[in-house]
Amino acid sequence: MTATGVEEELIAAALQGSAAAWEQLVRRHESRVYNFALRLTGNPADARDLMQEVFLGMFRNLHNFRGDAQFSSWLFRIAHNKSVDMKRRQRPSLMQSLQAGHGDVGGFDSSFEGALDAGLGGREAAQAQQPEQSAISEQDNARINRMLAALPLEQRMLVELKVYQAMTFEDIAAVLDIPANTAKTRFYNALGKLKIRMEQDDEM
Amino acid sequence: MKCEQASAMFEDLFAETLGSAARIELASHLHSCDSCRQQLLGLETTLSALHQWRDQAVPEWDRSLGGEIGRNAQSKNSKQNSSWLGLDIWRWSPLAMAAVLVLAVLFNVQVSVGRDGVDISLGSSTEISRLLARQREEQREETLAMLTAAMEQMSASNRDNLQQVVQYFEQQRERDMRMLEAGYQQLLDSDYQTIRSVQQLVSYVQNEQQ
Repeated sequence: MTATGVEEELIAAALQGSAAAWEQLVRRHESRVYNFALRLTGNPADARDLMQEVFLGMFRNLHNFRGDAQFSSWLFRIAHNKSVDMKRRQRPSLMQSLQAGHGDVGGFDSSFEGALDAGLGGREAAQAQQPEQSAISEQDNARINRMLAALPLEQRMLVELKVYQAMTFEDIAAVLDIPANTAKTRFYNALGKLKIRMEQDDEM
Repeated sequence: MKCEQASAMFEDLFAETLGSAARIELASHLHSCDSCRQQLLGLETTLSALHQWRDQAVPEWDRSLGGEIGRNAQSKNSKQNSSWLGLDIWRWSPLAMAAVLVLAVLFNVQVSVGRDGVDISLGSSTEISRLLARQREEQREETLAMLTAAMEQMSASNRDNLQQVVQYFEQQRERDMRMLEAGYQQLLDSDYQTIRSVQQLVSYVQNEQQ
C-alpha cells in the first residue's frame, strides 16, 4: 500500500477539508488499525479507544505526511506512539500490583489476560447463536491474544508489524526508530518466547 | 556445525536473509540433530498459529472524531468562500496590510479628510526634520526649566536661610511690578491709539458732512 493514486487524492481532498474524503480514507485503514488494537489491548472497548486515538493522531498530522514513505508505515508509527501512551496511562500503582500478587507492574500486559477473559465470558451467550466458524475464529484469536500477552509492548509491536502488517525489517526499523538488525534479533527472541507460551498453553 | 551455530542461523532464516550455502549447511545439521529440528518445528508452528488470526469486524464508531472533522471542513469552506478574484484573502491580507504600512512610513503619506473628500499626499522628509527639530528644542527647554527649579528648591532648603528666601521673593515681586508697569503702559498706549483713531474717524465724518 503506497500513497499513490486514489489514496493520494483522498489525502489531498481531506487536507482541503472534505469530510467525505476523510471518511473514505478512514474506512480504507480502520480494519487493520482496529484489529491491531484488538491484538494489542485484548478487549474491544480498549481497542476502539486506541483506534480512535490513532485516527485522531492521523487527522492532526496528515499535513505532515510527505508521501515519501508508505502511508501504512506512517500510520503505524502513529499507532505505535499511541499504544505507548495508552500503556503508560494504564500502568497500575505499585500498591495495586502488590495487592494483585504480581511481581510484574506492566499493567498493559498483566491486566491484558483478565480483560480478555472478561470479554470472552461476556460474549458466551452471543457465541452460542453464532455460526460454528465464528466460534472457532474467536477461539483462535483468544489463543493468539494469550500468547501475545506474554510479550512486552516493544516485542509485541515487532510481531505485529512483521507478522500482521507484513513489513520488512527496514520498514519496522523506521517505524520503531531502531536499527534493522536489532529489529531482526528482537523478532526472533519474541518468537522464542511465544513458542514457550504456546507450549504452556497447550499443556493446560 | 554446533547447535549454537544452528540456533544463530534460525534468526536469519526467519528474517529471510539466510544465504543458499548457509541453508545447505543448516539442513545438513538438522538432518542429524533431533533437538534443533524440534526447535525449528516449534518456531514454525508458533508462526503458523499467529497467522490464524481472523480479522474482527470494526464496530460502529464516530468517524468524524466527535465532530472535529465537520468543524474543520466548515472552517476550510468559509476560508475558500472568502476568496476574491482567485486570491485567498485570509492568506494575503496580513501581507498587504504590512506592505501598506511600510509604504506609509517610507513616503510619509498624509491622509486628511476635507470638504472635497479624502486627500492623500506624500510629505517631504524636510518637513519631518523641521517638526522633529522643533519638538527636540521644546523638550530641551522644558528639561532645563525643570532642572533649574529643582536645583533652586534644593539650594533653598539646604541654605536654610530665611533672609535669602525673603530677598528672592522681593526680587520676584519687583520683577512682577516692573512687568505690570510695562503692561499698564502698553495698555495706555493702546488706548491712546484707539482714541486717536476715533478722533480721526470723527473728523473724517465731519469733513464728509461739510
